[in-house]
Amino acid sequence: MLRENSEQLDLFFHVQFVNGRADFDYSAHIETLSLTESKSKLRNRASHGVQIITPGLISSRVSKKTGATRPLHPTSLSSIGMKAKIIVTPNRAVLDPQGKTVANALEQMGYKGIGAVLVGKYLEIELPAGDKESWRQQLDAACRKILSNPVIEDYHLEIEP
Amino acid sequence: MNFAVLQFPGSNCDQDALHVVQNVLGHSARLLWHKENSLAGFDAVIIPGGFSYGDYLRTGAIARFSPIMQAVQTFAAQGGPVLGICNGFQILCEAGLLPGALIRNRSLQFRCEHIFLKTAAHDSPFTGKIPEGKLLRLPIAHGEGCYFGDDATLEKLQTGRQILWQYVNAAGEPTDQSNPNGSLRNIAGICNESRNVAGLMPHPERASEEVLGSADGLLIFESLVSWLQTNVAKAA
Repeated sequence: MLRENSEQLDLFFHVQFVNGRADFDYSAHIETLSLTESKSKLRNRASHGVQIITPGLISSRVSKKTGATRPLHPTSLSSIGMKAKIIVTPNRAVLDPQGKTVANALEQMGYKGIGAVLVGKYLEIELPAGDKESWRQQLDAACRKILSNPVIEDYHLEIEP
Repeated sequence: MNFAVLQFPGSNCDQDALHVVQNVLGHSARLLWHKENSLAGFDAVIIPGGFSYGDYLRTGAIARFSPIMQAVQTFAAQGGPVLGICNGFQILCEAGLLPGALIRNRSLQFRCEHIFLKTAAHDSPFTGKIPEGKLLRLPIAHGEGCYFGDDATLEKLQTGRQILWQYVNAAGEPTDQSNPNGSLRNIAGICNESRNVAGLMPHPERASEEVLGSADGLLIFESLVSWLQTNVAKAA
């Protein structure tokens, strides 16, 4: 995947100060051209008293231009704007073997009388504060174009707040 | 003849397809990275198997927006032959170049085995050299190969003789037992209305030399070469 990708690789890690008493989360932002290099940078940070706890969890993003920190945690979304919630489900004409298997499992567990189960996808998209109607139109088009396949799926789009 | 073999991030049958065209068929072929945007100079396009973009969202859903796919749309509209194998078939369906869609196997299992394939229509650039009645023994390897189309789509495929290949048993019958993924009407491969774009889930490129246990897949590539030799020569 990286063979032609010369853009920088952004890695985010949840880290914790080893010697800090407060035990608080700290988000490190590493910009680099290769994974090897990023590892060595992390080791440097570790030697300065920072320990990697769980790689891959993103808690905030640091803007390259302004240096400002933008939270990515869902609870902080109200501060940055709106949120689109999209639910994609297999349409009724399509046999959904996953849904059928889940329905069977529920029946076997004693949940009698349940109807069809559909297993689908849920997407959340962060949006800047602004024209909600314009975003609805744009995302509606995106749902038809890429986020769902109208041949086999239905979708439901909501924008909050 | 000059073949383009497309390469997306996550393609993994590209080298096999290239090998068959170059070393088994003796024609020229070149790998084309998905960020290219021209197919100038190519006579045919192969979209190989794999897991483009990790199958994220849906199989083929993101690959269809790669720059090269715009060139494939134009190439196909001008009558150029395009063959999608496995993930290539899924990409062609997502791109709207072939009707219907490929969804999760009925068994929910990734199926990796050899199947029997019946050629249902011999009048296409991809099936012309396959002898009548010959069953192809080809490998499949997919988790999302269940062909789905609504009733109108299926009727249109049937009446237009666009169903090129079907899963069958050793006796050549399209039974439920011989259907590895739940595909409607045992469909393993189809072509578009103008017959120059085709896709199939089985892997002919993995069965084009006797040393691999079967050379039946070569008949599909030979059909394409023979069609090109007639048609490209005609155009020249």
